[in-house]
Amino acid sequence: MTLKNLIDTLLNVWVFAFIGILVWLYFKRETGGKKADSQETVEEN
Amino acid sequence: MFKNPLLFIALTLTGLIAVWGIVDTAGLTKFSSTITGMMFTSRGWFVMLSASLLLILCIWLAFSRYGKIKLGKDDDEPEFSTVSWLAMLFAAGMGVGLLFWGSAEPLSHFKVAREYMISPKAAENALFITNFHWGLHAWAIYAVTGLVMAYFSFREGYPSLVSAPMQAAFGQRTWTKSVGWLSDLLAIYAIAIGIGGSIAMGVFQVQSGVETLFGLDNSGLWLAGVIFAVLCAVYIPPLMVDLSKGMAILSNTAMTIAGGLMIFVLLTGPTYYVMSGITGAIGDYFARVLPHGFQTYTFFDEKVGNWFQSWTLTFMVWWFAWAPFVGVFIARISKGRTIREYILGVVLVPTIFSIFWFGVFGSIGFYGVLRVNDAILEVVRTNVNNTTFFVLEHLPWSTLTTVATVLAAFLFVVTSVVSASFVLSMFSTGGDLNPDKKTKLIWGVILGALGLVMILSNSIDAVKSIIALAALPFIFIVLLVAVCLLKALKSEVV
Repeated sequence: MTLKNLIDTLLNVWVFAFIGILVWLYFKRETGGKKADSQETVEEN
Repeated sequence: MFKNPLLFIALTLTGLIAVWGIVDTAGLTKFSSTITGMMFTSRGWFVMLSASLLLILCIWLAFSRYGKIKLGKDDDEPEFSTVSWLAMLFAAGMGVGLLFWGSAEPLSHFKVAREYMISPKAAENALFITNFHWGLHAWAIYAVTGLVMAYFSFREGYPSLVSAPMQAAFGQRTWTKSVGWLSDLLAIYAIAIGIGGSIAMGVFQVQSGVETLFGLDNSGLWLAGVIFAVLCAVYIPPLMVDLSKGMAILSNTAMTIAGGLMIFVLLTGPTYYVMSGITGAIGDYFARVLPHGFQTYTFFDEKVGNWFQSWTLTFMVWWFAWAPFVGVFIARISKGRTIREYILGVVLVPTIFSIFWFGVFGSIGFYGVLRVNDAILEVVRTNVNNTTFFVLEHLPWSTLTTVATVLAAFLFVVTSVVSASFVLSMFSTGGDLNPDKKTKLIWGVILGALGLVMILSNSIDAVKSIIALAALPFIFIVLLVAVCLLKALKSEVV
């Protein structure tokens, strides 16, 4: 693998990881924060 | 200043870039072109995908049940009338770039496209691509950034900072604090470099106008230096006083001149040809815009690949660079509007205006090439800054219209620098809506130095690559805050 290919792979792996994190954050159930707190209160009630 | 690490680091970082650029302009240009080229090759698909997804998100939000949500408390009413709100949107989006690229951009694309297709088809495609660069995708990037800011500050009561949505949606965690801090820093950095580029573009445009007016031939950097000095002398004093009303007047004056110029060119040029061009462009644009957002020219030759990087990708990241700045401005004037009203106003109306603008200046450029001769293409090739003035020279009252263009370009740059200094000071002081004069002045000087760097590079391509370098990281942040908004909307009861 040439250096150029390696850099290309790393740059794209970073993007894939970032997309994964965004999806995870979107579906993650929150346990802190103003919004998250209000969500939890609604669910408890 | 030292008590505020964000302000200190942001000033140091942008100051260092400015010093590097002044000491070794060629070095900075080469570095930014190399990094930008590498990023564009590897992540071009991601840039296009992000811009397209943001546009789809806007369309979905506008027509979903969330469209009814107000950007403010439920009983808040819009601060500005719809007409003046739309006028201010135009002013924010229609900077010196439109004056600069009006004819130059469609003609630049035409030069490349006609190597692959017959001239009339190449002209149609060139106009479509130009509208694509300045249309729905660009405004969707601005709209989402502004929407996040407006939602969290007016509805949730958080400060107008890029970091605020993360802490609002995910709480006060270590990661939200650190990523938030980094986002504020990158936003400042992206705005500063973006405005630096705008200063350079404005100076190049004014320089070409002055050369045309006084018959100077290739005045070089000395005239650019003089114009830059005058510009600094004009924008520094407003930083020292609260001139928000004065700035609105300057901005409206620039808008009126630009609008008048467009109508003048339409009426004094071949009106039937221009109107036909605009009509064709509207149909072409709305028929092809969504699929084209996913176009990456993967299977084309290297020439097309390079063109794609230096135009489409550069423009897209350029909008990302300007997003925090324009987003804050749009958010500020949109309090009390519903999400639906906001999106339709921010995304659709300026796009239609851009189609008219490029329809007028582009069509008249094509009229020259396809009906008269290739002279204007030679101007685009040898001195792109002069294209608008070349067009005006072939219409009546060219001295008057040249002076008007120079004046409008100058006013656009002054208003941009003054408002950017304000936004940068606000961001770097934790969202203080009344930042002190000293901070504004320091930002004014740094922006001037960055502008000088880009002027010294003496090339619009260098300016584009330096801006792209600053803007690339911001793509990640815009997507992250968009997720924060979606997460927050989920808990809204509509």
